[in-house]
Amino acid sequence: MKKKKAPDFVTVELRDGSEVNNEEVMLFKMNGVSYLACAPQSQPDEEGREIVLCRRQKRSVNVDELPVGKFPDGGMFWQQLPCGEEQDAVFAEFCRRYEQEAQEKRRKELKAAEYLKLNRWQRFVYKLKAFFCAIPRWFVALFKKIGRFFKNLGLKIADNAVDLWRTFRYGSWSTRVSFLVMGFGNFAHGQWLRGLLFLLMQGAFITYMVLSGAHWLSLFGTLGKVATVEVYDEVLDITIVQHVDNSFKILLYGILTIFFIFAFAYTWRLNVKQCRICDEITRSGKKVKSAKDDLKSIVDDQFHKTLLSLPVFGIVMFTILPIIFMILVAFTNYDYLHDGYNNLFTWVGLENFNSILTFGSGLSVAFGEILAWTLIWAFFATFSNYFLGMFVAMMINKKGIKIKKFWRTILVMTIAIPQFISLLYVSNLFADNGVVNAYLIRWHIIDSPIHFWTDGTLAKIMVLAVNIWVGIPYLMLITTGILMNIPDDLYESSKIDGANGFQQFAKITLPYMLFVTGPYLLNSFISNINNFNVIYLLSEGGPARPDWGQVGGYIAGDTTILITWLFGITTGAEANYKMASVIGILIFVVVSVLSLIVFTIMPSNRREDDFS
Amino acid sequence: MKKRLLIILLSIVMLVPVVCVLSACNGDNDYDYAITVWVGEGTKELTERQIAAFNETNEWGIKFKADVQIVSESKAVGDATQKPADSADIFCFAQDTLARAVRSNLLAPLNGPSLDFIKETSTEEAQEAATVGNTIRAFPMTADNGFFLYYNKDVVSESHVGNLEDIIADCRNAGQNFSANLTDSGWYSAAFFYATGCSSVWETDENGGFVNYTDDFNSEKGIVALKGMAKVLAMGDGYVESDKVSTFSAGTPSAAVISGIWDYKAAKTILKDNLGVAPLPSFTVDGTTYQLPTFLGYKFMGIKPQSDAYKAVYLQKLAMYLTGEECQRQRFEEMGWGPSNVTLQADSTITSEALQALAATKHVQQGQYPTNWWTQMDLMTKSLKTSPNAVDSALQGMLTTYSSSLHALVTDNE
Repeated sequence: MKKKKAPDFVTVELRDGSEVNNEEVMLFKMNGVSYLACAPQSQPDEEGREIVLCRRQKRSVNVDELPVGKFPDGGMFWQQLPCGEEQDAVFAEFCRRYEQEAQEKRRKELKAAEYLKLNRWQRFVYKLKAFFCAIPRWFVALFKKIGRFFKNLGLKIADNAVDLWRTFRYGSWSTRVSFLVMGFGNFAHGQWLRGLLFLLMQGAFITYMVLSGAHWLSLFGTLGKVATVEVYDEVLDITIVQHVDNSFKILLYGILTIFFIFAFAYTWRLNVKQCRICDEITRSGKKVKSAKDDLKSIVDDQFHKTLLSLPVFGIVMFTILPIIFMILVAFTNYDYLHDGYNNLFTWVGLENFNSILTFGSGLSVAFGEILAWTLIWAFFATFSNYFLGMFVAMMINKKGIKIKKFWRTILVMTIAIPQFISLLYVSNLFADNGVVNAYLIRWHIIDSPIHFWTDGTLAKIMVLAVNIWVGIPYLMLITTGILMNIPDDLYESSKIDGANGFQQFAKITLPYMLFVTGPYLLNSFISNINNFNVIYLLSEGGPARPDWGQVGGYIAGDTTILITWLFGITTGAEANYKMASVIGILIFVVVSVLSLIVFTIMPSNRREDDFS
Repeated sequence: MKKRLLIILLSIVMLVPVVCVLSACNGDNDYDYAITVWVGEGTKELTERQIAAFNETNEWGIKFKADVQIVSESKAVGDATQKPADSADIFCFAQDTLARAVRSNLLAPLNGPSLDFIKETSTEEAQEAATVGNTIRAFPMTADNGFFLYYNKDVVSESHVGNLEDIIADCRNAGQNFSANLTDSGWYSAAFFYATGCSSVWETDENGGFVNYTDDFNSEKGIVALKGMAKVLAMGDGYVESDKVSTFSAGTPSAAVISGIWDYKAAKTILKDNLGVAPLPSFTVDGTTYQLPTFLGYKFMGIKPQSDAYKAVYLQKLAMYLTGEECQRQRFEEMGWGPSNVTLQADSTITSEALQALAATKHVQQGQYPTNWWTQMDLMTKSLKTSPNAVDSALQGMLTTYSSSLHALVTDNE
């Protein structure tokens, strides 16, 4: 067994408070498993003293709490440890539980040799099973991570509080004044630029909060009380309307104010910290950084901050802020009856999520069906394009095919025409009274029109078929390049081995393609979930499904996918922004979960080293 | 030298926007108020001319700088709800969105002179249509918001236009279609219910909320209405879900289209002398004949609530001018729109083939309906479309679903 990582030395504190040499007990990691090693001389003595591991001097870990099953076979390190009866019992328990875990693990996991014996399909099933079995563990890990995050956050806040107290208690008088007047300590130490910036920040914050921030924040809890007030003007004999609160603005500026408060709190903390550092530097007799040094550093060692400040500010303002705004809308009743300007909207908690996720409600049935069709659509739209595009590329690349450029050009023509136009054109072409039906009837091929868009199943097939027509050229262009990169000798040697065309495709072309285009496939799947153009321009989400009723102010149909539903309910006569926001969040959840799953099982993600 | 050049160049760069802004301000100084006006398709230029004429002729010397934008009357209120702060100062909208406009506080309260003007110049029906609760909320602009039959004289014989079954038969025999918007618009499909004697009446309060309703669609008469509608929907492939006269020139053309006055010009362009217009036909169920009526609605001009009292007064003056006799006459002459003005309605020269067809069609005065009511109608007719040959019990089921959804439309239950 070879150590992959340098061991983590721990201090061993015995129950009586004495410590043993920290090199005598160590934690180290091997193949992702933590082991505890204990030198014979550091064993607890016969009085049965408890061993406490102090990892990195911060967290105490009782051996009893160490994860079970994380000890090597035979527990060789532990055999030396227990001395008294108590330890014997502990050890026996460890061994028992470890063995149990190991058996369980063996039962679940096939040995490498057995795995290699499986055929491709069995391997796939095995992987799939392992994947789904791992899902609960992910969630446990996720919750643990969240718990740890909050715990660390709490610890960090506590650390900061202690640090603040110490800074105040032991700091110089200028540092203490800095708690009230930001930047004072910097001025006192001659750092006028930093001091000025801190002071400006404090000035800006107080001014903003007094002038408007406090107002927005005070209304944030209700999102406004009065929308409009009618005032009668006796002289002109007219009633005018004064607008008072605006929920939309309150929500937006409320979030901005909260952001600003956090930014201020961070700056204030920074100000105190810098004063403490200045104190420490002065005490040690060194010189603090001057304004000139600061200015120099922003183009030198702090240049990354200079470069990143603008983009970060842009991302916060134009990406993070709108996302938070959108998420918060899902918890309000913002819709056409509560526009926020003439009629205020307010917080409703989880009501909107409740109405869409409550089992059996009209909205949840529609949501379930639309979600199912969205996933089916995305799956077929992605893979039909992928495989057919690949086949077309292979056919065109095949030796012996003449005028290759011509075939390629014909297909690429589809790209040249904007989708907007071609899709609307196709939609009209296949309408019940469109040209296709008219000619089929005129030529006596059919008696009555085929309901391309008005029959649910047919409409679904049609959108998939038209999507193939629109999508194949892109795939053809992408795959042509990759296909040309596959070494010819692979095909030649396989031919010598007696492989037929299909075998060559299945064993050489497809694995190669899947490996290279894995991320593209995932991206394509996600964009198909949100493929608004094809669905909306072709069938507008129809034919309508009256049995669903009105779903969020919109009559959805058989081909409606989540994104066209979202569009329908925000732009219709009964705009329903709150539900749109809920759907937006749910789309995000679906997309992120799928992305995670697919990324985990994707070959290009897992076997990077194998690819050659 | 270089430095001096740079200074001059930078000064020019700085001065240009200042000069531009100043000149723009100067331009605005010629006007008292800059306003936005939303009008229906085809009337942008006419409205611009009318506002220019108002600027020239008004006795108060008020000049509006108007940005006239095209927003369909049926969508104006919906659009205004979506961006209420940026909506137009004056907007034209269809009657069926009036209650919702009031509910969303999109209409400024009208004062004495405006109310007097409306009462003096508009018909009583128009005044009633503009009333929500007990208050008149908007200026009537047209009184032609109804529908009738456009047909191709080559296909549908004139003797058949009075009867729905005959029209359908003529269309079928010629291998052509029949266009109507029965499952996408309750405005059209309600005609079948009113034909059999059903009615749906909704009562509003002062705020545009719906407080009460009487609806007998869920009845024997309602089943008859659905059976009548099913005759058209059962045409299956011969029925085209559209109220656009452009279907006259589709791949498989329609020979009859149910639409309104706004399509007259387009229909004339397509069919030329073959275009026929007629009152709505009747249909027969179980031996009884029922005459299809049209909803007769109005188009209104509304004013956004203002915080500047003077601007509000002058906007009302402008609205009075734009919905006055002269402007309505121009709208008739250039667009063929039927006036709501009493004087013009009495004028025998204000008439046209389309207006006559509309006048000859049986009328149902359109009331106020919740926005969702139209959608519930659509849901019911869409269900009918999926099974047009349904038995009575299935039809009853559709009516029951419709009827059970109505209670939720009363404002308190929303």
